[in-house]
Amino acid sequence: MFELIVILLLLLVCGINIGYALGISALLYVLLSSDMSVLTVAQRLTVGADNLIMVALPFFLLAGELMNASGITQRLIRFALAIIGKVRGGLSFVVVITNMIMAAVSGAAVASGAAIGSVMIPSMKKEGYSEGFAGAVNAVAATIGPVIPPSIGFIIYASVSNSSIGKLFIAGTVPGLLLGALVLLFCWIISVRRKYPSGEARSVSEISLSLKEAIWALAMPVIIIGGILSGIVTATEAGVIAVMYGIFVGVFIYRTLSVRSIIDCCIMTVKQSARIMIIIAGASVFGWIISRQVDPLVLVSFFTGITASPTGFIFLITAVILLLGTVMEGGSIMVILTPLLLPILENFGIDLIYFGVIFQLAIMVGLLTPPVGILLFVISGASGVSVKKILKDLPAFYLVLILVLVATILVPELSLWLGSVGNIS
Amino acid sequence: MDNIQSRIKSKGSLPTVDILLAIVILLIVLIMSVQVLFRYAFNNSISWSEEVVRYLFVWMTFLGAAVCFRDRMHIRVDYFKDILPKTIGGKLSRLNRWIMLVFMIYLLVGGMVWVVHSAGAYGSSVKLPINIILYGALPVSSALAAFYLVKDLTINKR
Repeated sequence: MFELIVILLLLLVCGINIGYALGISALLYVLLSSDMSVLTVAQRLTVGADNLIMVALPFFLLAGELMNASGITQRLIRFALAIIGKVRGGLSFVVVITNMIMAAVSGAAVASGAAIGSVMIPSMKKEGYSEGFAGAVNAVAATIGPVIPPSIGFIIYASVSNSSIGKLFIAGTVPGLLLGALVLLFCWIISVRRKYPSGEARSVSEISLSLKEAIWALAMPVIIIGGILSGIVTATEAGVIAVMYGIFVGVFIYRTLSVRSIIDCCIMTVKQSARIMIIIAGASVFGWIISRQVDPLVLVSFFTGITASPTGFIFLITAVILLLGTVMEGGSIMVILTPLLLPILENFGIDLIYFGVIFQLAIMVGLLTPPVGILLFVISGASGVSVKKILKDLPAFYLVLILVLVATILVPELSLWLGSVGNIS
Repeated sequence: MDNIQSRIKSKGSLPTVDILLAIVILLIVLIMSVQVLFRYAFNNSISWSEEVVRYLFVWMTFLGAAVCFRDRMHIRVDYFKDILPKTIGGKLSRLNRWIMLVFMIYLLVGGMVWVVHSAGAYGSSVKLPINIILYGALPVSSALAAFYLVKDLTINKR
């Protein structure tokens, strides 16, 4: 197994596409040190891609693409401006609230974050906020989305750990809302200290007018989360409904979606979905070979030798994920690491849903940490604020993320309570 | 890296593969919607829907992955390559494409051998030859990916 992992790391460092690096290292292993048929890798790749659970992935990606293309961002920003009203640092609140609502509508949170940032950062600068703070707020606000359902990360984790997408979605809700609330609190503290401007108070008629526009977007999370929590629909079915609803709202209510833009959304979705699926397929080949060649007890005894406490193990693994997150994309870390961790989690008696929420939160930190923090570059690219300036204002928000992460580790009820009162099918 | 730039409204005609892929995902959405409708409105489930969706999803994944070579959308760790001097980094990228091309040829040949091996097997609820409609996706899309890689290697001769 050692040589298999060394080959994989070498290919990854050289910049080979992650999914294929997994397949190539598996192939080299089969050729050089096993008596398996050379055809095994090609066969297992198709078996790995033939994964019905993952059909939920393109559905939620497509729903998000459709919502973005139908111009929902502007409507939600208008709504958030109206309800926030006269609060110190109002615009930073608008950023966070809009991101949270968007997140509950869309699975494509990084793209939504960029769309919101490109509108909000210029107007924040105009009102006297520092560039760095405007960039940092937008970057951190975009990490709230992937914790609040629907979330691509949870779909990926569900597939590689064989757990329920619906349960993971519900489990992410409370930690996601907590993260949002803490980010808002920090925005308020910073805004008061730096004397950033307050928003404008809005009249009741303005609020109701913006609500009328936004209600179609606000109804989506109610349908998705309500549907899953009550057990009426499965997560995959909720995804189909989200797509149909997105098309309906874009074509008939907002009248902004053309046939061409629907097709463009479809093509974008297929590519986004395929590049994730190919990693999952590659990892299934890789994992299949590891499971045949390695006794899982080796890994288990390695970790139980370091720490005997489940919480200690979780902190250790979280540190590893945070470290990997600085150079690697989060979903890929999930796909590669989770199968290796499953026997250890089982040995420690750690709940898979609870661990999934922790994993997802840890990956969110990786979106913001250099050298490879996708959100830093996306927000910087969408607004023209340099990554350096964004980083200068981020430390307070790293603290928020770490606080929520530690709280979720130490208080399992944060992730598990809501699911226990529902009836998830 | 999320490819935000390529989201910007494209005009002009779309490549045939892209249109095909859009049709595949719309078909998946349509079949699943019909299935949901039947389950809840008529309390009746369709037997063939899941199997057909599985096949379409596999084709969508492999063909989509081939198109990701054309559009350079695959996820990889760029960091270490990017800190190398430009000339070495460029050579490494070229080497990577050669490695991918060799792997694609393996998948093409291996996939075809498997299609031939499993001839005569039929789907459980859809009576179609499974070797072509499921296992055929890998060799076909690997050929397409190899085509894009060769094109890339001949055009960017650096």
